[in-house]
Amino acid sequence: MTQRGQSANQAYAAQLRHVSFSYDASSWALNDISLDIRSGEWVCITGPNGSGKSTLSKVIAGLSAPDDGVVTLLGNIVFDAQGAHAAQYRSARRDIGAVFQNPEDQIVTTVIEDDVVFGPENLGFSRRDMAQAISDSLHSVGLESMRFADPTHISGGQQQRVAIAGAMAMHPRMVVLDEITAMLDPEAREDVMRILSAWHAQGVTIVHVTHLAQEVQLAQRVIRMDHGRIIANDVARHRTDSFEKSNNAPPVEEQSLEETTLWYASESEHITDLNGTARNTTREWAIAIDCVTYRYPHSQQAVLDNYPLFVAQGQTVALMGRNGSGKTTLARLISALDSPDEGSITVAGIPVSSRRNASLFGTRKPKPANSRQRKALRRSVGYVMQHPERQLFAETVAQDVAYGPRNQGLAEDEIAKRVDEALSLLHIQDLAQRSPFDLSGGQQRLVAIAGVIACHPQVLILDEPTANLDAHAKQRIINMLTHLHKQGVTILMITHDVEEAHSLADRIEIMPDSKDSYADGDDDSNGINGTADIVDNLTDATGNTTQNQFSTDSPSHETPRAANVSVSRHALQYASRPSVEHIDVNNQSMSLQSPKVNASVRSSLLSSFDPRILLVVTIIAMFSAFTISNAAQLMVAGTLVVAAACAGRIRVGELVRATHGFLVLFIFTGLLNIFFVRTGSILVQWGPLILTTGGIAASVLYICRFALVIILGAIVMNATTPIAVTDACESLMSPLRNFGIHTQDIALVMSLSVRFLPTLSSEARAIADAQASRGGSIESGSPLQRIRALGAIVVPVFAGTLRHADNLSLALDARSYESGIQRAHWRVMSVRRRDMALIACAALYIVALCAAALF
Amino acid sequence: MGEFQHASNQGHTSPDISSDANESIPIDSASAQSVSSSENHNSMPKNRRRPSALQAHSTGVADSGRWSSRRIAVYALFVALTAATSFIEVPLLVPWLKYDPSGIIALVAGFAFGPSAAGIVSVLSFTPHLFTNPLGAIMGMAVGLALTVPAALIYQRFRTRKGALFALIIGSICAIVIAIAGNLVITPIYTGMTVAQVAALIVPVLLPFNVLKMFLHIVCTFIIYKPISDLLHR
Repeated sequence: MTQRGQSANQAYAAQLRHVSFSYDASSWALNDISLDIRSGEWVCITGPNGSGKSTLSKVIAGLSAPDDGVVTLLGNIVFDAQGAHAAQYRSARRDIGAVFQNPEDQIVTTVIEDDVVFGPENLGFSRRDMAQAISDSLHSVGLESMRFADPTHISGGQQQRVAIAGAMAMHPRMVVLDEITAMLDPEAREDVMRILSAWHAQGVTIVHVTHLAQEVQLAQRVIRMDHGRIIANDVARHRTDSFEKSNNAPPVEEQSLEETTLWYASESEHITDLNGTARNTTREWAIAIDCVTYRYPHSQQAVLDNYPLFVAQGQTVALMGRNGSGKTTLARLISALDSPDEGSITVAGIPVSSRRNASLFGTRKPKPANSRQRKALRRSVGYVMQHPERQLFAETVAQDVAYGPRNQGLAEDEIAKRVDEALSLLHIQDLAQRSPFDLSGGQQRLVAIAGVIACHPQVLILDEPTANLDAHAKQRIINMLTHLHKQGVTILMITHDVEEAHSLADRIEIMPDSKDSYADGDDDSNGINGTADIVDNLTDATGNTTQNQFSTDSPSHETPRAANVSVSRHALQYASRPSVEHIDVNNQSMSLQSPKVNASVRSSLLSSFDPRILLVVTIIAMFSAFTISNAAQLMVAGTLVVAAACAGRIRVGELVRATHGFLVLFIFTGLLNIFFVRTGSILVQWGPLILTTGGIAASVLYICRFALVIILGAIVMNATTPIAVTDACESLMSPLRNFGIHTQDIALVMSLSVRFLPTLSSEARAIADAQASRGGSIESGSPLQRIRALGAIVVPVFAGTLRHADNLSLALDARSYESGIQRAHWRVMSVRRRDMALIACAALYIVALCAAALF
Repeated sequence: MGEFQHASNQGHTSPDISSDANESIPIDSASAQSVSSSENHNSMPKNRRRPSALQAHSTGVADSGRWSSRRIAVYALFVALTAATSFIEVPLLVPWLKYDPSGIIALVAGFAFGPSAAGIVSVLSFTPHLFTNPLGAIMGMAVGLALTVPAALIYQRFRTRKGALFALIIGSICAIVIAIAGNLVITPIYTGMTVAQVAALIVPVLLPFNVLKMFLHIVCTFIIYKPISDLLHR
């Protein structure tokens, strides 16, 4: 960029003087902050949840104006005593990149390339610069091979790399990163930190908000915040030049993760392997999973393959393993939210899924629990999903926690007792009458967990309950789990935190990496990172029968476990350091194999047309079909549809899938015609119902012409991407701009909604599942119960919608999108000769249709 | 958190997505004037300027006449949610008359963010259907507009529980009129029936179906809007 040269004579990237910021006019999120960040510096901002570090990062990124003070960003005085200066903010923002915590909410389109180029488009880059920016930034984050993949179908770690690439492509001089690794697993975290090191080496100023000690030590300067004030501002003592070196660096004072890793590595090669010969009766096992296999629909590869897991009554087991190894799937199977393809599951004595006897037709799917068993299961199993705080819905914390017990039909005083008890276990009694939506993220998590605990489960399953929490909140959860363990509750906890697993669990189970597992089924960390070598390493030591080495207080139970999977700690340690290149190889294979990656349509003649021409021609053809009134015209239109089907190379199966929903409508229109059109000779008369030849003819005609319309639409939609459709609509609408209509904004709204539609659907499903596991179901119960169950789903769905909107609006600002700007367009639509030919064909078709009308 | 605090003390919200400052207030005015803003004054550090209500943390980049990023994001998410629910179809009375709850979401959007949001959500959320079932999509848009825009306009004036009910009823009447008129036009295109034959079906079929549909819209919107408005104004 042209402004790049200025950075040399600007000593400071950001200067804050006496800056204060308040959200609620009652307390200061930032209280009199003065701060200088030099150009080219790497600064970390750290502190507990709610200390104001996130707010500070937004002020530094130029995304939010403070209430008081002076802010200078990259030489622009953006805020002073006169208030915010929009022009200065605009100018500063063009050179500031920002990446946030939630990778999903920063992705604006459904093709990686388009997402990366969104910022450069807003900045009005030339075409050549855009091409360069895409390839350079995707190269930097190691995702070149996924350029045309759909970013909503990749792992959280990969999504965050896409978001970083999107910021890089704008060539910022300063980049502000707000807990960008919080939702990633340790391996993905390392990839991201490596990328940052390389970026910093190019002279970019980095402002990184994090509370991970391992990341803090990469910074040149560490700013510690508490209660809206800076409490320490030090040059880092253990600055290491690159991330690789930092892994061997001595741990700094608050080091915990690093220490664990070192301890972890120093252990000699232990093999945890328990053999499967002793397959005991399932009675003493709280969870008995016997050789379960599960595949995602439409996926060839099993995410769980013949997997066994046995947890004794009262045992605490930590379940570890990489993203995509099937941990969340396992938790869902145990909670009867999914059912396995093979194998049996018994939980707390309830057959969740039982093997059927092999029949003549081979093995059949296991028998799922019936509704009575399901109900019993809901009572005995508590399931804390990932991000349980997203399920909160009630007006007060107490009501939310009472939801589960109330669904169990307990008396009011018993419910109150349960609520009290659950809240006090987590030390949050003081929040009882607050609205859950006014709490901090950490407090919300505790409330959501209390809501599950209040159901008094015998078996508790938790999916990364402490992820993304500060040390204080984490400790409360650990204390609660210790307490429940003492009371004899069986606990299965999925975690990425080795230390936590070690301190809590009787036993650590490590999921084998499935070679081609695609998605973990969870909402923001799906996908694979595992590599083939790692799997080999994890599975090479088969056949050994060593007693469990991870046991902290060796349990008396012999744990049966199939011999084909055994894991060494050494192998896991090794597994946590895959090279970026390595991941890419896998990604490529994934995008080829996965049925979910559908971003690019099969190339065909139809898909090569200019989408504007194609859509207009299609609409004309569709509406003209409604004028068809005789068989000759039907023939003409039928020819057109067959030609379109050939040009679109649509498969019969795809066509059936796209149109079968209209079958009922076809039948309905047919019946209406048969009984309402009474021309021609009477064939049958039965009471008031008269069947005539004219009626039957009309019925056939109307069904056919309606079907042609639907089929034509399905063919064309199959050959275009949602992006192409929105681009075309924007271009076609653009004349309306002269009438003061925000066509560019409306087109963006459309493409963003296409992007978020699947996200919202899957979130809604997750929330419905979570409330079902607390006994709230809209499918059964009295109307009042059903309405309550509906509210418990609808409210969190809206809360999620608004949360996405908030995050997305920040992401749009960070990418310099502004209403009414002159944007460049990466994807250029041009009318070529073949498009002219298409128009000619369309004209010919209309003439033929008119001519056929004369017959 | 009640609307009183919100109305009198807007410093705590990020800039409203609408330029119209008084646009978003919860449905239930009878609830909660509990947390008065005067309490907040006391705990506020006294030596500094209070955050100004109008420019609350806005960088001024999206000034008048432009859409803010937040506005675009909120519209996009509501369009996505409405479109997602428009694929849910619950059979009513007979299998081919389907109820889809998307109107509820569009109504909520209209109540929360004003008539322009209602219009945009109603129209854009049906565009995915435009190329699969063009006449159905146009009908959906027309009925959606007739339902949500008048309702949002009325609710904008009368922000009470009664006002909301009035708004929903008027919106429903408009929607029923448009739905029946649309059927008079579209059914003869779909089938060989004459307009007169369709008209004969108004009282026995079209009217009961549409009344039932709107009744469900009203009940659901009424139940869910209160907690959602609390979410919007926390």
